[in-house]
Amino acid sequence: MEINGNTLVFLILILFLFFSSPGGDGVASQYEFTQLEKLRNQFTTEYESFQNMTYTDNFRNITGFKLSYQDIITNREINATYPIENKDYTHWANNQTYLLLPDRLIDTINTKVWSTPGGSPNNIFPPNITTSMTGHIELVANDEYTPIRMPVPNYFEPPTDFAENNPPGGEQYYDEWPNYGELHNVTFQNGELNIQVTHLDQVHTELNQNAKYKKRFNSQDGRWKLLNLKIEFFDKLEKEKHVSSSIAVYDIRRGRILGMSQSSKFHSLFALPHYMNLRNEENNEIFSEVKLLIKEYWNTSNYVDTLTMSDLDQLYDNALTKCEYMAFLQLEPWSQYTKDQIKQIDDELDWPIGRPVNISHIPPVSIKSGLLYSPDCGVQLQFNDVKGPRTELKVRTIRIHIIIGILLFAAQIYLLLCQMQHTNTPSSINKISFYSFSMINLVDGSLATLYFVAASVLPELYLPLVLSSFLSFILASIFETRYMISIYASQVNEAHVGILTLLRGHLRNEDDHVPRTTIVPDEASISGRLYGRFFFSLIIFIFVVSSSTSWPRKIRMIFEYIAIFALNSYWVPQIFRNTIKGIASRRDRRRNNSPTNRRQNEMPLLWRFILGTTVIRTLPIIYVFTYSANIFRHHRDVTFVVVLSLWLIFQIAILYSQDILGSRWFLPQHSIPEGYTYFKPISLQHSIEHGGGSKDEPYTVDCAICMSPVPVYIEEVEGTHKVDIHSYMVTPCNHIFHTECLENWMGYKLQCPVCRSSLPPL
Amino acid sequence: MSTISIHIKSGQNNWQVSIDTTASIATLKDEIAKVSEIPATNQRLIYSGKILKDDQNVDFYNIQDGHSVHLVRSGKKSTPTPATTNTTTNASNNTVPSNISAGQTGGFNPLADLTSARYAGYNLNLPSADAFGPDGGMNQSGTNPDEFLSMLDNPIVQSQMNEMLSNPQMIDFMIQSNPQLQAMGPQARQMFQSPMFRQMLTNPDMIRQSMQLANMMGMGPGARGSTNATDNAASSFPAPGGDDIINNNNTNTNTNTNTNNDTNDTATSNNDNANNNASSANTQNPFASLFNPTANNDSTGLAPNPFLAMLNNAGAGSGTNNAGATGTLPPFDPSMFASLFGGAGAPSTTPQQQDTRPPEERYETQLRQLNDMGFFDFDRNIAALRRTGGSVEAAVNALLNGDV
Amino acid sequence: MSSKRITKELSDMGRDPPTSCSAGPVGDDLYHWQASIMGPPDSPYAGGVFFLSIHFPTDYPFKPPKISFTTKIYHPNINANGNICLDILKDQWSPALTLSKVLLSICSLLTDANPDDPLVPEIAHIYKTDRPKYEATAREWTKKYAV
Repeated sequence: MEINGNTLVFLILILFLFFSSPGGDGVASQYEFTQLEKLRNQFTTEYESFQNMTYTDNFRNITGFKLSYQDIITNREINATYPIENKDYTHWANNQTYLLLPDRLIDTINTKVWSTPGGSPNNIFPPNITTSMTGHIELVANDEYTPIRMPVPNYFEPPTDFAENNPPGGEQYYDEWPNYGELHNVTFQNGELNIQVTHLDQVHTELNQNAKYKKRFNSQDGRWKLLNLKIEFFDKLEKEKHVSSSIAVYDIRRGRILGMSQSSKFHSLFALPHYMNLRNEENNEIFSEVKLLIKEYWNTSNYVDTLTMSDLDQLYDNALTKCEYMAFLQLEPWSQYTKDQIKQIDDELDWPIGRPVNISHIPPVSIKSGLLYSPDCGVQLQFNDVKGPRTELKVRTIRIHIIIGILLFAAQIYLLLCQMQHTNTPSSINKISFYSFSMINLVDGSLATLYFVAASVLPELYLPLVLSSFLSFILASIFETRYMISIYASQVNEAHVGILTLLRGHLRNEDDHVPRTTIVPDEASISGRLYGRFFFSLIIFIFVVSSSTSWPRKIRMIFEYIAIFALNSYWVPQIFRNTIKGIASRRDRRRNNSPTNRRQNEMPLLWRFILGTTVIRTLPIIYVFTYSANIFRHHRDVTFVVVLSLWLIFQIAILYSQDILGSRWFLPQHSIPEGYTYFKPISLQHSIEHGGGSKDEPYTVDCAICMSPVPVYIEEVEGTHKVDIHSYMVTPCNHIFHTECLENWMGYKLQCPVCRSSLPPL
Repeated sequence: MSTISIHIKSGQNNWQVSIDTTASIATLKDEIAKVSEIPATNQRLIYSGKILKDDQNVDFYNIQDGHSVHLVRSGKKSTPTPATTNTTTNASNNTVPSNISAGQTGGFNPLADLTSARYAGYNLNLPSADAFGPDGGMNQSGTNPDEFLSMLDNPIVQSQMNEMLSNPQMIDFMIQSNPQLQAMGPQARQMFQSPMFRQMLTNPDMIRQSMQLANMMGMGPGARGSTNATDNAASSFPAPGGDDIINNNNTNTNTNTNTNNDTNDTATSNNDNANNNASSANTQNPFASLFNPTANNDSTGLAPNPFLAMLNNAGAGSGTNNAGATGTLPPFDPSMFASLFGGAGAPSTTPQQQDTRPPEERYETQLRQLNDMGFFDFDRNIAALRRTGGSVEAAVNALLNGDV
Repeated sequence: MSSKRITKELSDMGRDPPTSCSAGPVGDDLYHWQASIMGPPDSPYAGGVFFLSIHFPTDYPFKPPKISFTTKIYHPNINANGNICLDILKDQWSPALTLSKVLLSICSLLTDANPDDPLVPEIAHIYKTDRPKYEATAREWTKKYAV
């Protein structure tokens, strides 16, 4: 490329495009730049006001706190402005004149939620409460409170015109919006609750999201902590789901948590000091400590400077679509431990080196009482029975489960290898059902994919998940698929043949006079085809399964039950195939005993394999459906498990009966004709045609395999009637061989040595 | 101890022969010769997948009574490529095709008139025999390349060479006499006919260059003789099959009871040794290998032949045979001259230079060689040597032809 | 079982050998044979005698014998190591085939090569594009190695 004017322009263009992409704060236009500026200015102003606030001051111009509850019940249409006439901005009291909360609620909180006095030596609370809690939630009131009007500034709106540079000013009240109340109301009475608690101990100091630049900010680490709360609650039928994320303050000495959500209409970060002090104990100590916490957080994280466009969009989105929630939580104390013990426990969970703590008996983090209130939707909810294990413990349990799963996979691989070794002749492979194994293969393949996906979602469990995924992938895609390829190859000639003909043991319809060529299976094309089918069906199955997680619960349950039932019927195709092949009963097999014969005449599947596979596959299902504390939080359903086990036992019982009584014992005797038998007398003419033997050995035929004469039973000649019919075999193409010779050869290929026509398996 | 009767199968023919089990295979062959009219020397007997050797007994091979033994007529190496008119008639010709001008063709002898011309005193400015060394180039003991090159500068010589090259019969003769060219197939002829090639042959500078190359190459190809392009079917000249050839030769010598052949074979081995000895040395005589009577026996004796080396290089490199060969008309090897002047070396040069020593001394080395070859008649030898001006090779020819 | 059959084949071959083939055990080992094929008269290999080495597997006749040429031969389906590309020696083997039948099919392979499934693509190419040259080279090699 020669450097001339054109290339130079091109390079400059490229560089320009490269460098003009949105910088760290995501601003892509002048409009957005102005938006972000305005947001920053707003925050800065409010922070200044916050800084000047003392315990005895009311909120002044903090967004969302310009009105108090008293203001809104006095005047339902009042606008949230600062200053409001006749409002007292220089005093503070914990009642509805100054707070957003009605007095009733304040009483409830003080008596029912944050009721225990703090600081007593009995009440030790763990400093580290990263956990994932589940429980129940109950609606207390959703129409008793007046919603407080919180406007959203207009500059958050996205531009309507490309040329616009300046966002609109002013603000808008969304309660004029017709659907506002309905969408943001909680209508169910009782529901389920999930709370995820993570600690906010370190913050990025710059826009550059490099992990190295995280800094700690909390100087009061032993008394106060900042948390991230994610509260999800929904009704039992999962028709209504609510999610709320908030920043929370954790009072370690008293075990109290206060979380408040943030949005563009609710800058709750500045309200945390006042609201934490709801019980008004120790006057300004709580207030000043929390204020210090917030200040440290604000300054260390350069809150204003590290705001990005996505933060702005997030704030706007939350304001429009969600209610603001305030969560008041009281933890259950861990009184059985001392402070030092708890510290040891925390250290051990963080970095296990074997300290003398009994980790498996750590009590779960539980909420003694909790209250959720939405000031702008007027909804009050109550937590019941919420608790959960520490996240580290949960990860450990999951890891143990995955390792057990790995062992199950290893056992399955071993059984499959035994099975493959057992059926290494074309006759025995012919007896195995292709569809049985394809069902098993489908489940294994989807497990492999799911594990692999999970490995990227749960990084702390990466190693065991990836190992499981790898093992099950090997099992499914290499061993099982190769086995299926050989099964398919041995059955490829039966593709177009009717069932009755198969039952008779022939490979071509008798009325069909077109000679069907024996397809010599080409392994490469078969394997290509099978692998294609495998991956295709795997993709479809996984797609269906993953989309089912978003369906309403009822349909999901139905789908789940049907799928599990269907996928656990993998012995049915094998039963069917056994019937077609017509395996003799155990008694008959023992009678026709010959060493080479035995292997090819019995049931193709090892009993070890059948029982082992069934157990391996049923164990996880039993675990999920009966163990109530299972890691998937699946509901308990013992009935289904029992039904499923019975169904599996039934299948195995039929297989067993086919082994003992012969595989066609349940069919009426005359409905199917006999299969092809190799042992029959031959006619005199036949024996003369096919090499009537030498002078000294008349009535023999030469075996083409060992080249020695075969004495045969000729119907017309009495003298040959002492010949054992089972000592020679007659093929459908009328060639005669010694039994051992031909059986030996049929262990390699089912093809007549003389004329290469296909032979029915033994 | 016992007499067994065996069937002899040969193509469509079937004979029955009785032989004693203690008899030798040679005897068996004679027996077979009686019934089948195939001389015993031409017979190859095969039983149980093995060739029956003359010096073994019948019971060594465990031949059973009533069993069949296969018979194949063997022709010796005298049968060349179908370019010539010989086919089966030559198979019966047992003379070793040792000389280039030996009666292979039985026809075209380009040098015939030269010989007589010499007697007529006609000075052809043929190169002096000294150009090829005192023994006429049989051994690799030295050469006078400069004199040779100066001869080329002679325009008469150049025109003569051009004439010769444009004579298709001459080309045939040259190709046939040089087995490497034979192996090249039809490309050889094309090559000879191309004018560029001719120019190369006649250009003294070219020749000088290629001779230097020949010296350089003296080391190279020697090492690669046997490991050459085994995958290269047609282009790999006899080199890789060296062992087989030697084996074949051995079996040939074994089955051939002709004493003539034996002496010739020893001559072969002598020259082979000579070749081998010289191949490691930096030979300056690229023609020596071609003067070698059984030059088709190339094992590692190819060293001095840069032509072959070039072709091998091209062949091995490109993976195709003739494409490589013709594509790179290499600094061509003046060895071609050898075939040209093979016969020409025979007549001596300037008859002015008379040697006054007695003949025994004059032709001392040549006589020794002739003795080694089996020509013990001193007078005849001297006469032949005189006739051919000291060239051993031509003298042998003359002796065999009975000219003396 | 295999030694019985090999012995039987040996006696059959001695009594009634095929026209241009001969085979027998090398020494005392019944499972290691040497065979010779005379070049078919209507092929460029005429006049040559080609030697082969044969190893019988212990589960003969259920597995094919391993046959390779020890004489160098110029053929599209036979490579420089002497390996033969013949279907009945691989997956199309049948226990009804005897060594004499196999040697006969190798003979017919010499007469009619199979250039569409070659073991040496270069020779196959010449076989397909310039038949006289192929024959010339084959004759050459026959003369050189097999005579």
